[in-house]
Amino acid sequence: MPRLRMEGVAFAYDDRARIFTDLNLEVASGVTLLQGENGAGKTTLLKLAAGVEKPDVGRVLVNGADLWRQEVAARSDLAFLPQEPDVTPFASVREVLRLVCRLRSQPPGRVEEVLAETDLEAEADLSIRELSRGQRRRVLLAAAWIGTPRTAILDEPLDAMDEHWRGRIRGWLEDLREDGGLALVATHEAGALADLADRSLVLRDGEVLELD
Amino acid sequence: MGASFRFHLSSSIRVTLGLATFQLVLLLVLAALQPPQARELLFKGLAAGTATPEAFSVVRLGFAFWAVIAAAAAARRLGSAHRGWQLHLPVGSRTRWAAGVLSVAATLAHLAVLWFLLWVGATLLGEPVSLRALAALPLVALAAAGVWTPAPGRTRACAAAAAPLAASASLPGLAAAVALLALACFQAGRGSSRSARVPPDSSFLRSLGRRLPTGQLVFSLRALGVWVAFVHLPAAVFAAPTGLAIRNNEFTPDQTELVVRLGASLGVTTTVLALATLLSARRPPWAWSRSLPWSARRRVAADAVLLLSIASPLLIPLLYLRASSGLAVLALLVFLAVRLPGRMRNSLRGLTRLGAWTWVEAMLAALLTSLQPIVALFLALASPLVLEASARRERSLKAALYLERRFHAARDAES
Repeated sequence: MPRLRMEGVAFAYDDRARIFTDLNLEVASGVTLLQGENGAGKTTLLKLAAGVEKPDVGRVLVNGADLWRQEVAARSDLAFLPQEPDVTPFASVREVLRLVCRLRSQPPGRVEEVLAETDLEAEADLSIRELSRGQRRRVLLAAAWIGTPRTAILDEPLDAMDEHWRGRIRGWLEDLREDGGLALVATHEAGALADLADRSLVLRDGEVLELD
Repeated sequence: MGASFRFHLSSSIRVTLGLATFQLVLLLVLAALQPPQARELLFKGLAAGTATPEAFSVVRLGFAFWAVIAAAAAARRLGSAHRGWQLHLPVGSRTRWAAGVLSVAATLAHLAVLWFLLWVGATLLGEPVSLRALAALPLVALAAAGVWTPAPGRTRACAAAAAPLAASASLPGLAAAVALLALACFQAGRGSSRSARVPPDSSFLRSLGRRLPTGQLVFSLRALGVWVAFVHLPAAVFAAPTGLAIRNNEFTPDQTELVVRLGASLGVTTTVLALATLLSARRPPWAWSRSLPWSARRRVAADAVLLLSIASPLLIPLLYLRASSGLAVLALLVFLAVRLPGRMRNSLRGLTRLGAWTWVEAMLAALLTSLQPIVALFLALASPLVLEASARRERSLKAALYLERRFHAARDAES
């Protein structure tokens, strides 16, 4: 069963803005919603959990593998959908997905499949900078669907998505949940995902509290 | 239409002040460093070369090249005026292009003044002068500006071809330059607004990327854009004096080897430093990619391979002519190629993108390698450890903060 664990994590972007001093969190399989006010640190927590930012102190374990000591092993089961679609502007959609395929040891043919699944076939050869924000998010969604990542970390997954894509994301979370996968979802739209949630957490003053 | 021209020109005046000051101070410092006789010879040579009626003038071609480089810097600063929100204004794409070209050309005023003064100087010195050399001046400036003003590729290609033709100052050359600039203006008017919005530096490299295996190398190469063609220039600054020193002195074989090693080490070092600075300036960190299953070591190694593959061709003649010196400089290059990716990721504050200490450190390594080639062996042996240190820096990079401070903040004016 996938498991995400943060042990004694401290993190600051710079000395004046310390966000976590001693964060401990354990997330088991199922869908876990993470809520909190603007600026509470939800996005930073997800970035730490996805291996985008490295904790100053402490460690993050994905399925028992340390994100920063066993970099490849810990990330091989991980999919991260950030709120801001952060994709290099120097690549086309197909190239980004081909890179992800190669890193996740998937056959190159998977690129075409996932392009079709995310309705991005027409945009496949466009530069990332020619895409809208919603399209860029779909590129990252396509990247998350390459391989079989069973640990999904999603930051405001419904943001910039129309009804059709909201439904697709819900479907993905349902499948993940049924297959015993783990999803940690930061959202302001808890109502839209409440029926899927196995657990709800709230982030306040750098600490994670359980929500009844 | 007039409003559009006035707006662009007023923006360019501010940019001119910033860019011209730096270039002119650099020029004055370089001139001041010369002995008086050499300075006089230099001035006479430049004046004669600028005003000469002959079609081939290295000085005028040099001016054209300088204009193209300076226009690139200006166009980058003025870029926000040619894209984004501005595109919705009721101005035709030809007018927008023409206004853009004029505004960038206006930032070359310092070059124009220098060119004019040299022409007057040649007249006073009694050198053969041609009025066509003066007529070439605005055409060179317009062509240089046209190379960088956002437009479809064919427009920019016409402008690029016009610059050296105008610099020839011959009647056919001037006529061809005028025709090419007119064609560029016509093409700019035909370009769709979509093609004008697409960044112009990526089309060739993008098609190259489709044919080659894609990955971090190709993305980085695209980030460098056309600038990759100029990164070898610093090496020429050291190669020329090295060649002159060997030619004009009677050195022993050991001394010759030392001079060659010194020139090559400094040349390669400045090239790789320029490349790393450029890469660090033009390629924002791709934070999301850090969540993919690849190691920090692999990401850093890909940068090292890029630096090596671009800078190492400089060493081919050296390895062929003087293998031992070539190997020593190659070891230095490998050391720098694994060191700099780490430094690129650790410079939130600093005079340059890499930080002043990086330049000092690299230059010291180059000097030591030149004086004691055995140092190269130590540098080569230390390279795996240095690669690991660079990987540690990649891991500890605060990607979001780096992006904010190095990229977003600097581009506020363009948003």
